[in-house]
Amino acid sequence: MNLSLLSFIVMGITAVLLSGVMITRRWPVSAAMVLIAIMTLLAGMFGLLEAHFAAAAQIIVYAGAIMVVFVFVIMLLNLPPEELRYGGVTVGEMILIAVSVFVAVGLGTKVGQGFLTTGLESMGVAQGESVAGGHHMYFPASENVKNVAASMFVDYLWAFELISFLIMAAVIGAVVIAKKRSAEHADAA
Amino acid sequence: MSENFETMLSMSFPPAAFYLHAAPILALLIGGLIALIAGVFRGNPDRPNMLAYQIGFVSCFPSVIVPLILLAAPGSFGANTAQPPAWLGSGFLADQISQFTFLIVGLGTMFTLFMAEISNAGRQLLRPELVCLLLFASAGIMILASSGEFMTFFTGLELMSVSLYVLVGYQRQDTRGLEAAVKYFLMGATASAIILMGMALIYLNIGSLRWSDLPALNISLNNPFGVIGLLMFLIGLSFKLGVAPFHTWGPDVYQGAHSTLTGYMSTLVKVGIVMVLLRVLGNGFAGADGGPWVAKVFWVLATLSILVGSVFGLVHNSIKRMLAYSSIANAGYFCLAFATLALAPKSAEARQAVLAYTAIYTILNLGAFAILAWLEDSSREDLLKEELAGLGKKAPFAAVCLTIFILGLAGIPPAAGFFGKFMLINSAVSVGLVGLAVVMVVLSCISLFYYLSLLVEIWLKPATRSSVNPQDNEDARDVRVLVGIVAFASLLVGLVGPRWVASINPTFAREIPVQSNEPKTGDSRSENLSPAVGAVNPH
Repeated sequence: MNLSLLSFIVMGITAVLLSGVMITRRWPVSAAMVLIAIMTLLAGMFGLLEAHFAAAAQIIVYAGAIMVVFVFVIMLLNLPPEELRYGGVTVGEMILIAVSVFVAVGLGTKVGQGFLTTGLESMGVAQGESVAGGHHMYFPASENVKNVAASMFVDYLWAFELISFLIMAAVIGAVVIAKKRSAEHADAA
Repeated sequence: MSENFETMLSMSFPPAAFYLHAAPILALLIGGLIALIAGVFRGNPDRPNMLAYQIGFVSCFPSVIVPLILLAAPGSFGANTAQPPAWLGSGFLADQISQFTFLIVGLGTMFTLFMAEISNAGRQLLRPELVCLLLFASAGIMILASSGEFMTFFTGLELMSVSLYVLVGYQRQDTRGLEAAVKYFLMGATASAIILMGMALIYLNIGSLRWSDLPALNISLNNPFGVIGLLMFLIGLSFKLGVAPFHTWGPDVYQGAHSTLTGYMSTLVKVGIVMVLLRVLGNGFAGADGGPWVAKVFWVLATLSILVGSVFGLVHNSIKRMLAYSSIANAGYFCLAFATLALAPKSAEARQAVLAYTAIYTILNLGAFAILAWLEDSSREDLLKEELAGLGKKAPFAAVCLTIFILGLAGIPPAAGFFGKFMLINSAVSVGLVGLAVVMVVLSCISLFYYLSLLVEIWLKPATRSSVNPQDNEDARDVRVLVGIVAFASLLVGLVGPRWVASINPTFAREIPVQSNEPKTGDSRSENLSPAVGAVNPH
């Protein structure tokens, strides 16, 4: 067992344990703090898998930007733990838990993955070769950034450009909803 | 390295013809931004802004002109009619199905803007930022309908949904409207999440996001995650389409939103989703079991939808709720078409039936909601059935038009709806879905009851004190002209039959590789459609 595999396993187990810690916190802010640690551990795991770009993006986007938003919302609402409690586990939650256990076992264990990928190799699409012969650009797996760029700016350029309009619509929407009250006053005047 | 860069450039940038084919989308997106800027320079930003309205109206022009050119003269501008090309990694499919959708969405958006302009409540919709969002939503629908892979599809879906959440939520006077907005947002977000998970599972299985690779998906119990992925994708789209048992948000949201917007939501949004399902199912599925398995899913959805739509519509008094249940019943007919497509993916007849029914349904529902918006303007929101009493005497023209639309939605011959349903059932029977077709027809007869009860109120009941009093002013004249055109169009379609749809080439666009390294076996890239029955393709 080499060092990177060992650290990968340690990081993975720690991340799973911390996830358990996170969802059992009473105060939302402490849960958010634990989530930051989980995000960082995930970034480390990406790095060990030689996905360095994903590791950097994980730190910048998730541990950075998205966590800031989470903490902002938590501080904005400022709910004490008493108001967050809502009774025991319902039937719907039981079903959700069962589904998530199923998915976790299926995706997260060797047995589940073997079950998943048996059909793939026979069809020859697991290697990333498009059946219809669409043009992809592939660089060696070590060329992280180039691969991401080829996906983003060659294969999915149209979607990439359109996302700017999606964000635009979201920003406009946020403003419209937020200033609604003042608009109603203006109408009444 | 430089050669590599050249290849990359030629791959990432679409040919010049792209800008013509995608002009409707680009014009709506740019028009939305210009309308937004117009609000900065002109007047009170909280008031209706006529400049933004005009900009919005004008930016819909390309989505009428370009499709008309490309549909009327398919070979123009060097377009390949036998095998239309797909650009931007299947992100944009330059085929006639896209252009047909652009035409419907463009006209529908113009109609919605116009209806908003001539009703008092609707004029609230003409604030610059709301015009911008309406245009973005239409662009999103077009992106949805012209996409050939999951990534662009999801971007379009979200662009449409996010804009509509805000449009439903902007007008907040009563709790019902607020409930509608929150419900629509939560349900829509859930549906998006389910679709996203389904997409991820499908990608895990086939290693590709393109819909043309979907036939590689192994649909059998040996491959549980592939099946679950496909199921989640279909369920998420059913949510958005309002198919039972995922319909519960529909009536509340339709009732809570303003009628102009409800007309938009119940028609154009569904056009986009229907086109996506048409493209996904039209690619076919692997193996002998794949197609029939998917057809079974739609069998169940179709039966449930028509049952819910027909039976629950009976117990409601609010006209908007009745029309909402009618749209659930009509979603059942779409599911019948999808079941047909799953069994016979390459059938041109089945594809054309879907296109025809989409167009007809859009015309009828937009017209019905337009009249409703006009009646509500002089009375109050959310009319009850009894309040239509005596409309035949007070406003005969509106009453005649509403009758045409209701007959069309019910599927009674002189109006357009009959041929739409006839084509769907015809193609379903021809692939052996006789049982489902019988169920649909029998349950449609139940729904006739509430359609006809509306007509009884309009024509046979005397006016009471609570019935609506439509005003006769300049706006009323505009409404009459516009709704009259729509009613005439639906009658015309009903009388000449859906022969026009046979001239639309339902071949899906495929990617044409830049450089082919190895010779491909056979003609796997171009589709061979079976000819449409009773329809001769002019090319």
